[in-house]
Formats: sequence, C-alpha cells, structure tokens
Amino acid sequence: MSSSEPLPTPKSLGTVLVIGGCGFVGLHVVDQLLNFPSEKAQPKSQSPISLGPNKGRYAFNFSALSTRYPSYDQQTTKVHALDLKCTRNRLPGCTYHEADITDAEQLLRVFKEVKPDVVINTASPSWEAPRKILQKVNVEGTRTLLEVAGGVKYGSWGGKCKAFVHTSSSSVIHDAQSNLRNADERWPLVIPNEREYYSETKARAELEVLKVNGKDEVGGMLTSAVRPAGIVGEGDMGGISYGLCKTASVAPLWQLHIQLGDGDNLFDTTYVGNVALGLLLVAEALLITHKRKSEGKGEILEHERVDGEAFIVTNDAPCYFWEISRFAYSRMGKEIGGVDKVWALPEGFANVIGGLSEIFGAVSGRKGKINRQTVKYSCIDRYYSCEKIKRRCGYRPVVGAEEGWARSVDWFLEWDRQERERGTGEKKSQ
Amino acid sequence: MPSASSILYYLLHVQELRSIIQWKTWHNPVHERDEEKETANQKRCFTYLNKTSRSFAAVIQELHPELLMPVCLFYLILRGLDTIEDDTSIPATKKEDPLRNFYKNLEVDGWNFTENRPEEKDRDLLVNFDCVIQEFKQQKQAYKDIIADITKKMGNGMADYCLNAEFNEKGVDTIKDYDLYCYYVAGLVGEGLTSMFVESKFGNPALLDRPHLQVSMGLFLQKTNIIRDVKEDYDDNRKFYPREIWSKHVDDFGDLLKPEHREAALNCSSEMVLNALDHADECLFYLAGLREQSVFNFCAIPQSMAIATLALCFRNPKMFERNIKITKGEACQLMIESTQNLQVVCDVFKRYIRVIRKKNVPRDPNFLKISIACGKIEQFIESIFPSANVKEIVAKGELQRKVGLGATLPKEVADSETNWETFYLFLTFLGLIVVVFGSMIGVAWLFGARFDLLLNDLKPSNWHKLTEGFNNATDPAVTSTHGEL
Repeated sequence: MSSSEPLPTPKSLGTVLVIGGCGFVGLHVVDQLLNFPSEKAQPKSQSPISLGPNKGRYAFNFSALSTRYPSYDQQTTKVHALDLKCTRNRLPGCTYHEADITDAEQLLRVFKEVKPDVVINTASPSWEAPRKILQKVNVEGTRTLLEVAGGVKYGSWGGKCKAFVHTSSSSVIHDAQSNLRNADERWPLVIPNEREYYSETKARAELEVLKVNGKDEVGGMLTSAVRPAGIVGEGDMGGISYGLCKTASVAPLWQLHIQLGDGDNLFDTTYVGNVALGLLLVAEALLITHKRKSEGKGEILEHERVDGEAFIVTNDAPCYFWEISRFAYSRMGKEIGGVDKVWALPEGFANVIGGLSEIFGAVSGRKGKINRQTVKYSCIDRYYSCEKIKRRCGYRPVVGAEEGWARSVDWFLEWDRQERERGTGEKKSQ
Repeated sequence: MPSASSILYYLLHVQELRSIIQWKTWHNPVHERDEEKETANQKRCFTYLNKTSRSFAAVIQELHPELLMPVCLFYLILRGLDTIEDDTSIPATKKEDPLRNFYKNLEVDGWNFTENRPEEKDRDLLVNFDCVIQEFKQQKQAYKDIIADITKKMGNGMADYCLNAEFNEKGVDTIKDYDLYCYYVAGLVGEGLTSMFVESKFGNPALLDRPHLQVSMGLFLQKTNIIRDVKEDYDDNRKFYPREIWSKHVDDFGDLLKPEHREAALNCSSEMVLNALDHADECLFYLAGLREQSVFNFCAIPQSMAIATLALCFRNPKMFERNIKITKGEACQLMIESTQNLQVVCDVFKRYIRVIRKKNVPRDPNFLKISIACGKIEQFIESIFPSANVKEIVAKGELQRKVGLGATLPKEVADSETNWETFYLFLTFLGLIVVVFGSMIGVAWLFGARFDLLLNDLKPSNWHKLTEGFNNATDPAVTSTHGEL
C-alpha cells in the first residue's frame, strides 16, 4: 500500500491536472507534486519569525516540507493546473490553463491539450459566496468536469482519465447546529442543509462524483472524494485562520480576551499540506485499483476500497476552538492572558448579540464580524475521526496541528506586512 | 488528632469532608482478606506490605483471593529490590551482584539481605525476607515464573543504571532515556501485573498483544511521581527530568528551583506534564481490558490519583518550593469514583483535563501542544463512550446510501427525541415552579405566616366563611351598610 513516509524511490502519478490549481488547496497540491518549488523560491526569510510565546530560546524552526512529504518523480509526473484566472499562486514547473469549469467547451480544449491520467478537483467558491454561484460551481461545475473527464458525453479528448479525486468538505455531514463528535464516514449527508447552503452544494457535488465511479458513462474512470475539515495554512484568504488573524490584526487587546460559550468545544482543522497529501494518496490508490481492474485481477475487498468512497481528512488532533484562537493571537505577538483574564460570554447571551449584529448589519448594509451562525460555530463541538484514510491510504498528518497553525499565522503576518507596504507605497506615489 | 489547619480546611471544603466520610462509611471492598484463614506467615507478609506501602497496601488487600497473595508478594519483592538500589551507603559495585541475582534467591530458604544502612526505611523487610520466600514457594508456578522474570529484568536494569556513572552524575539525558528509565522501574511492573491478570482470566488476553498499553500504565504513574518530586529528588541529588526537556528552559538543572527562574521552571514542568499526558488515553484503553472489579479498582485508583496529581502540579510554583500532594478529601473522592466503572473514571479524567486547561496560558511555549493533548484524551473517551446515538446515525447513513436521497428518511426517531426534550423542559419548568413557590412559602412561614389558619379555612366545613368573605368584599351593598350615610 501507499505510505506517507518519504519513499526512497519517488512516486509517479503520470499527468495530473489540478482543477483550481491557483487556489488555496490547488496551489499546495501543485507544490507537493513538484517537490516544493515554493521552498526553493524563497530561501529562509532573513529574520526567522519568532513571535508570541515562541521567542528567544523558545523560537522554533520548521523543517522543510520537501523532506517530510512524499516526493514525486519529475520525469514521469507532469503537472498542469486549470483555473478561471491563472495570475496568482503560480509555481515554476507547472503548466497553467485558463478555463471555466462550468463550460464544457473550454474544459474540452484543455483536456485535449493536457490529456491527464489524474484529475484533482480543488475548485470551490468561498463558503460565503452567493447561493447561485455555489450551485453553479460546486454542483454543475463538478458534473461538467466529470462528464468532460469521462470522455463519453462530450466525446473523446484523445486520452483516458483513470482517477478523479474531488475535494469535498467535512461539513457535508454537519447540519451547522448540532454537536458533531468523532464523526466518521458512516454519518449521513445533510441534504437539504438549511443553515449552510455551501455544505449542501458540497454534499450534492460529492454525490455526483461518487455516483459515477467506474461507470461506463465516464469511461470507467474511478472517483473518490476527500473531505477536509477547517483548512489552514499558507495562502488562506477566507478560512478560519485568516478570520482569526484578521481579527487580531485590527481588534483591541481586550476584545481578543472575549470568549463565546464555555470554551470546552473541540474543533477540527487540517493543515493544507495534509489536505494535499490526502488527495494525492487517494489518487495514487485509485491508479493502483485502476491498474488492477484493467489487468482483470480480483475485486478489492470492501474494507480496503478507495474508489467510490469518501474520506475525511483532518490533523487528527481536535483542538479547543478558543485555545486555538488564543494561540493564533499570541503567535501574532499579542499578549494574551490565561483563562482568568478571559471574559466568557454565555452562549445564549452571545447569540442575542449575534442576532442584534445581524439586524444592525441588515439596516446599515454592513456585514458584521459576528452573527448567530458564527456564534454557533464557535460554541459547538465539531470534530471527526480520520481513521478511514489512515487505514486505507496510509495517511498521517505529516505537519501537526500546532505547526500548521503557526505556518498559517506567520504567512498571514508576512502577507499583511506586504499589503501594508503596498498600501503606503501607493499613498506615497499619489 | 487532625491538626487545626486541616479542620479549618475541611470546614471550608465541606464537599471534600463529605467524600472522606462517604468513603469511610460506605466503601464496601469487593473482596476482603480473610484473616481467620491466614497463616501466621501470611500475616507477616501483610504486615510488611502495610509497613512499606502507603498507597498500594489498601488496594492490594482488596484484590480477588486468586491474586491477593501473588500481587502482595510481587510488591514486596520489587520493594526489596528497590531498597537495595535506593541505599546510597552501598557502593554501586557492591550493589550490582545482589541486584542482578535477586531473582535467584526467591526460592532459597531463609535468604535475607542485611547490608542496608540502619536508617534505610524498608531495611526490615530485607532482613526478614524469609517470610516472603516461604510464601513465594507456595504460589502457582505460572505466577512464580512471571514474578521471577520481571524481578530479573528489573534487577538487571537497576544494576545498569547504578553502574552508569554519567546517569548518576548528570541525571537522565534524552526523552528516550527517560522513557527507558521509567520502563525499568515502572513499565516492567505493568508488564508483570498484566501477565498475572491474564493468567487469572481477569484480564483480556488481547492486553498482551498491545504491550505499549501496559507500559503506559506504569509510565504514567512513574512520570507523575517524577514531576511532583522534583524538589525532593533534587535535594537527594537525583535528577530525573530529562536534560532534553529542561535544557530548553534553563541552563542548569538547579535553576529550576531558584525563584528567579520560576517562569522558566513552570514552562519546564508543563512540558513534563505534556510528556506524561501522552500516556493517558492508553491508560484508559488498558482499563477497558479488565474484567474483574477488584482488579479494575486496583489499576484505576492509582491512575485517577495520577491524573489528579498531574493537574495539581501543572504550572504550580509551589512544586518547586515544597512537596505537594492531593488532599485526603480529594483522594477519597477519587477512590469512590475509581471503584465503579470505566465511564466514571473517564469522567474523572475529563474533569482534571479541564483543570489543566484552565491553568494553561498562551505565553507557555507548549500552550497549544498541551491543549491538543487534552483534546486527544477527550476524543479518545468520546470514541469509547460516544455521546450521540451512533447506531441510529449510522443506520440513517446506511439507508441514505441504499435508498438514495429521494427516499424520506424515518423521521419518527428524531421527532420522538424532540418530544422527550420538550417533556423534560416542561418537567424542569414545573420543578422550578415548585421550588420557587416552596421557598416563598417557606420564607413566609419563617416570617410568621399562619398557613395552619389558611388550611383550616380551606376545609369544606369552613367554605361558607370564604364565600362570606368574598361576598363581603365584592358586594357594594354590604360594604355600604357599614358606610356612614
């Protein structure tokens, strides 16, 4: 079986097309497939970041990702990325293609050019996007992508895609309000999902993907879905770590000491590199299964199957939501006190504030930081078991939760600094 | 006689006093020693057990009769070994032989060891070791083999450490060395006990296939003691904190005890606690493999005490000034909770995890790691005692996959649950009303309200009075008769 240990012989996945390759997750998939050009591009920053509690003798250096994640044979692994716009997050060694995944014609053009063996779909709008966009990209886009990749409905593009790995979301089994503890893949999908339409579209897309696994209508292409929980890491521009960092960068210190609820709720997050690892391990397993099938070997045992299956991926380390926040704040250099300095608002009270903020937002037309749903998310347990992908694909969280968060915060600081510089630069030039 | 300070303490902590009383009055051992049937020699062995052990004597003596004597002897033999190792008056070279060969003497009639210095506290046991030998010879071969095997391994391990000049001078170096040291002094005990539990059929044989679980049982206890005893050990010129950990926080081990390095010492101790916490989930897992109540109690009590002690030590500056330990009341509470079932013990662990988290501060370099370690334990507990009805959820998922989304899923279950919720809510509300009314009436009564008169008036025979009063109050005609026209 595959293993996440760096192997002496580099792996090979053939020609890989990463959909959404300039996005947050896509970038890291491309980076991993190319053996981390991002680390070569930026030699260790001149002053190693040592902030918050990890300063002085406690400063910790991360070891290079390239030495820890599996490496890929660059002769036999060809990396292509497809995105709506390919202007940002470009890495040397990858070929970029611009196309809209809801447009079969455009997709077909790229497929004819790339002829991928593996498609990894990481495209998704932000969870805050309008319902229409969510439906269009997540559900229809995924369907179109499957149909084009399958090479049947829209005709052959001159090759055969063997494996299709879809990035789903762990929220597909969450109703956005109840506690979810140690949930695994046996949990039912929540459709319809009244409180979180994003999750509903992700669930519907996942169904589309898994439904066609191995079917003739997609030319026998094997499909799987990976469901990451709370992705954090370098490049996050809309997730939980970005939200917390953004808050800490503007909020006064006392506000960072506010806690909603009792603070005992556990929350799962996943370092983006671990998400990429999960996607690639699943792709590798699909290729093995495909080869096995085409050679006419016996069926794979049900408990070892990867094709047609969904896999939850996490850091395998649920964290207390509010402690994660305090870690992020203090890594940003804020002096955060212990629990005795924290001002814990009861959940009910916070809910009222959330409601008022929503009303205020509706009246003033400005969207506030807090609403009833954010209150909910910050007060409930939401963590999973990732045993299935560990067992069936040899996954393990190579970068731990702490390092993943530290990397994410450090990246934000650097990005924020550059943004500010650019801002002042623009002002000066005016 | 309890001291004045402890009287004051328990007056302020009535809950703990209650635990002590409860434990003393209501604790029913699952098994008890039957002293009438004991031989004089067996009684001697128990006398030494009570003399040499503070914490283990009680739990050992409540073990199932099958294991009572073997475990008691196992304890005394290891205590004997320990007494030779501990004696600083014997040079290391002189210790080696008795330590390595200790296991060979277990069946040598009349063997004893008299070279301990007079002030060595368990010297007596070794001088009168014949009673242990006499009893040991009568045990089942299987138990004898297990005990001898562990004694041999531990004796060799101790001898190695005694001869290791670097260890004696500088203390434990790496975390790996630390684990190995703890394995020799505690992990091995777990190994021996587990073999005995399985031999007696009181333990799941699967425990033997997961040796890291039994090792964790020993390591968790040993590491907790090492963390707590940092000052005492340092005063005795022993350093068990591994250099790999303390050197991250201070330049010299001795700095840990200096007030000017208190913050660094606290950070160091929390890294030590973090290291110990890593074993907690495996300890709970191990406990799940025990099949007999007295064996469960025997194993669970020390583990609960350990997690409570860890919580007490966590970021506690007093630990570097003096010996600290959990109070007697807390200990009794823990014993009550550790002699029931695994779920109650899990609740104990959860409670102390919360204590640790409350003391965790973001300025600690291991803040998030500690938080994650706590979360890991909670996740593990959730995995063995799920709080949701997993069966139902899974059945729903199964159905969804089989029938597809279009089919309506059975809603009744969820609905009936909501109904129950509403019912409980109603019940709570009703209860609240009763309490509020009750206390209002109570207060009124305290202030002299005469409910007896009211009740009297409410008797059917007196109803006319009430109606009279009613009429009086409402009929303007009646009132007007009293008016001055």
